[in-house]
Amino acid sequence: MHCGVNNTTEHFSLQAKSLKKSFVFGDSRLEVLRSVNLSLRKAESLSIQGDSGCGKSTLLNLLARLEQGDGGEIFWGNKMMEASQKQDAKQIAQRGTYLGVIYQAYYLIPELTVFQNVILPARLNGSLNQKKQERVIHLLQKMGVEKKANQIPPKLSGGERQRVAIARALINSPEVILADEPTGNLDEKTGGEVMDLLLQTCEEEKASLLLVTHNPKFAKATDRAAVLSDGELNLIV
Amino acid sequence: MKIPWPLYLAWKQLFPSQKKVSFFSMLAVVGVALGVNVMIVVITFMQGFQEKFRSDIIDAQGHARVLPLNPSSRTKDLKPILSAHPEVVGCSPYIQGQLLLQNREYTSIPHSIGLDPVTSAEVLPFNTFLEKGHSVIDSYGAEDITPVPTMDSLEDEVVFISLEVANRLGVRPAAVLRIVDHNKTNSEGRQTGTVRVQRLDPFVASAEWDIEFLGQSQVLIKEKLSRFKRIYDLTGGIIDLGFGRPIFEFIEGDRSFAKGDTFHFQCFRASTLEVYSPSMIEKAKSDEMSPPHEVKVGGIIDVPWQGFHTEVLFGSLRFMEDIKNQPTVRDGYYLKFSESIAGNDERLGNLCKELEEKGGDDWAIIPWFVENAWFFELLKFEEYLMVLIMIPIGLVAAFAIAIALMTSVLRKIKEIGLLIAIGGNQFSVGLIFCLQGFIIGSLGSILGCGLAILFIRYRDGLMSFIVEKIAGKEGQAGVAQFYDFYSLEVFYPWESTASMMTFFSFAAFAILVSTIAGLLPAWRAARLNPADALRSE
Repeated sequence: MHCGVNNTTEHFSLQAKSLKKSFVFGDSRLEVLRSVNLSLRKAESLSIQGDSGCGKSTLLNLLARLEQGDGGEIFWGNKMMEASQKQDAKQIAQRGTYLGVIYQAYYLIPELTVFQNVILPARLNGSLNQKKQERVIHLLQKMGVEKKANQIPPKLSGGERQRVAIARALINSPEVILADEPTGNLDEKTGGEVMDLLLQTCEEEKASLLLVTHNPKFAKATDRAAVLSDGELNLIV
Repeated sequence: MKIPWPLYLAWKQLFPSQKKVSFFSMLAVVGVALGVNVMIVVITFMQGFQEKFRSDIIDAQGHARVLPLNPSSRTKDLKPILSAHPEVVGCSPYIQGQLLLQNREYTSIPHSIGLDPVTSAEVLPFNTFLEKGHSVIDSYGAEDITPVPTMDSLEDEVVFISLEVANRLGVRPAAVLRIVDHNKTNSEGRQTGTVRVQRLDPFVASAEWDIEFLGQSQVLIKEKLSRFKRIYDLTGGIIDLGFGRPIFEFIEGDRSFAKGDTFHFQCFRASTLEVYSPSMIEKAKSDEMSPPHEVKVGGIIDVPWQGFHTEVLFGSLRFMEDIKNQPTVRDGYYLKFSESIAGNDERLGNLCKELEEKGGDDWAIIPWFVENAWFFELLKFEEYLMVLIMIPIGLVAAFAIAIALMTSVLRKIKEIGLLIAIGGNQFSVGLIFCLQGFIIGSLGSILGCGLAILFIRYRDGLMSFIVEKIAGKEGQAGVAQFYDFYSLEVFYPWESTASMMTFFSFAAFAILVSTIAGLLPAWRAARLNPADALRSE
């Protein structure tokens, strides 16, 4: 794998070129992503819709370098990575600061308080300091859960948990937020509130947002919208 | 201070925020602690036994024994040669053999040892043996105030015997009871003056002694049977009535004595034994009958390491020379060395060899640990066997920890995926589970060591409780006599290097095993594909 500066990526936070991924089940091979091309500008939001099992989460995992693809290139800013290559230690360390991830099932650590959960990514990349602690309070206030700072996740509602997960994704001021159906476990009203908060915060934080959703209403709320179908990504807006 | 995040998360998983401690952590830590505690307690008690036997052996035969290699060498006096060495702090000769004792129709053939009353004190704590053997007579309305006999009583016609010999022959040493203790100055809360017997001569006659105060410092002492009657002035607080009579000691309390105070004592003479030597029996066969030696029972001795329920007699060196009719013959010497030599087996062994060369080829000098090597090897073997038996206990605890942590990995599979997604590397994520094993092992070891110290501290009470529950009140005495639990000296880690090593070794073993138990789950966690982990149901 080679990493280098790509002049065409200057204004993009995240790019994918000819991304391919297939899964092998016994003798059969399922091609999930045939040739996905994607460009996400700085502070831009992009939604991806698609049927269940079409490869939306796989695309997000490939973009986050959590799994290897079969081919194609991924750009984190101007840093190019071969999708089929194994990630190196530098990439792993960079992931925590360049990307923020939000999942449908929140994945908060039940043994830690809300405050400790939010500051965890800073602890992981060794940037735990007073400023980060102040930022945790700021983000929790923004998410409207500052009073829950010393609670543990099992005592929170679903909406509160997802707000905490958003705060955690933003703690290291990442360039890109990858959100995989963040409202999937919430009712429509709460989901709407959480989505408004996510879009608003990303805008304020100047973070790009790649949102995977089934909800067309939420998809419309982003700057651009795309549909993943037959292993290819097609822009609809 | 910034704690490395794998350690932080490992700690938090064991001791979650707001919950203080998880059920798994508590069980795991207590499990390790109990294992460590059992292992330490068993081994420190084994060491306590070894230490007790070591000190008993040294008390009974010194640091080394000088033994003749042939009959002719027994006539050579080695004491001047041995005592001349600066590291020899005590050297006492002894003569030993079997003697026949008789009291009426009862007989006993104890192992008999003749000691030099002067030099034996340098080597053997004989007075301690007499103290241990001394028992108080249970008497209604009277108080046994028999003083504990001392080595000073070891004259040529006095012997000390073990309780087994005394019981077999139905004999006892002299005793004295205080029948009346009437001090008119009695007043509540104040110590009143009293009279006791300071020394009871083994040749004391059976008698009833009355002491009546004629004034604060003048007493009338009388005895009915011998019509003894005399007035004494109390100067110095001691009145020695002479040979065959007790020595009274007047102890003034807060209130002194007054006219009319009376004290009444009853003395019982010591039993007399008839002693026959093998040579006398030989003479008897050829019709040359010589009368037996008559000796008084000076006291009962309880000698450690002579074995339980053994029949032993101690007399003076001259008594044994006379009865065996072998003057100047020595069967051996007890040796005691300076602390610097005694504390180091290697140096002790070397010094014994050096002294052996000085004594010529006729004598062997055997250190205590060589003479009793078989016994200590047996104890060591038992100790190792115990360790071997107990190691599986630790391994069982390790398996339990490994299974629990493995379950934890499966339960937290999505969290593992998340940690990698937010910037953690797989090695560090795996380390969380390994560190959990380490923390459980460390806390369990600390708790286990604490429990072991408490067990050592309260061992007497605990053993007494357990023995009483198992053997009842009656059995308690028997167990105490046989195992000597209640006086067993078990060392704390700060008192002995061996104990410190035991505590350290088992704590280290528990930490190591617990950490290794966390390796497999850690490896499993580190190998997880983050995307698969997040996708898993």
